[in-house]
Amino acid sequence: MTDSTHIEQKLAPVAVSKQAVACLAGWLIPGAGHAVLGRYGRAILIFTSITLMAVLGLAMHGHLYAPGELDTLFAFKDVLSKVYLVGQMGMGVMHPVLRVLKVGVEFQYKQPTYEYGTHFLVVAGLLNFLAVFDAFDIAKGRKA
Amino acid sequence: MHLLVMIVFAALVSVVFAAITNEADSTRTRAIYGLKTFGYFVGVGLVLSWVIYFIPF
Repeated sequence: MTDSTHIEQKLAPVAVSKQAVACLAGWLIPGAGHAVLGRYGRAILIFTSITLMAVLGLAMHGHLYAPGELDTLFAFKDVLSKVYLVGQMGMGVMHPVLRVLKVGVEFQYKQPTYEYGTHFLVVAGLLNFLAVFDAFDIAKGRKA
Repeated sequence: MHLLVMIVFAALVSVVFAAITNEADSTRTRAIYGLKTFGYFVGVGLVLSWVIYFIPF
């Protein structure tokens, strides 16, 4: 197989069902979308980085927001928490599983590393959104 | 502590950016892109922190 044939094969779009599976898998488990498309190296990098970021966020007493949570903070309407929630939902299945396990549920705002931890958790989710978009581009044949 | 957290943050984000960039066509260029991104994160962070340090309000 020549190099050009190899590149053409890698840039060929996959079936629509596989595109959907790659995006859904990538959202639920970081890096799984790339693994479905055969990019195992990148899948491992993405999974390791995003999972490590979430673990560090929790270790720094970060808070995992939930849709049903009261949107008041010190008697103010806490609109920003909804933005954070959307970011954290990018972590996929990790978010509800951790909430069910009561990890990151407590609002430990008095801890000195609380802000760092919460932002680590938000960025972990946002990075996974980017990874899903990347998996979609690969599945569409827009990039190798 | 602040610097350590910033470096860890920069390293993890740079790895993901390097993995999903479309500006790299080989593992080597991908690694260079990741290192450059890491350097920008840390460098800009340090510069901004010194700028903020001199602002009196």
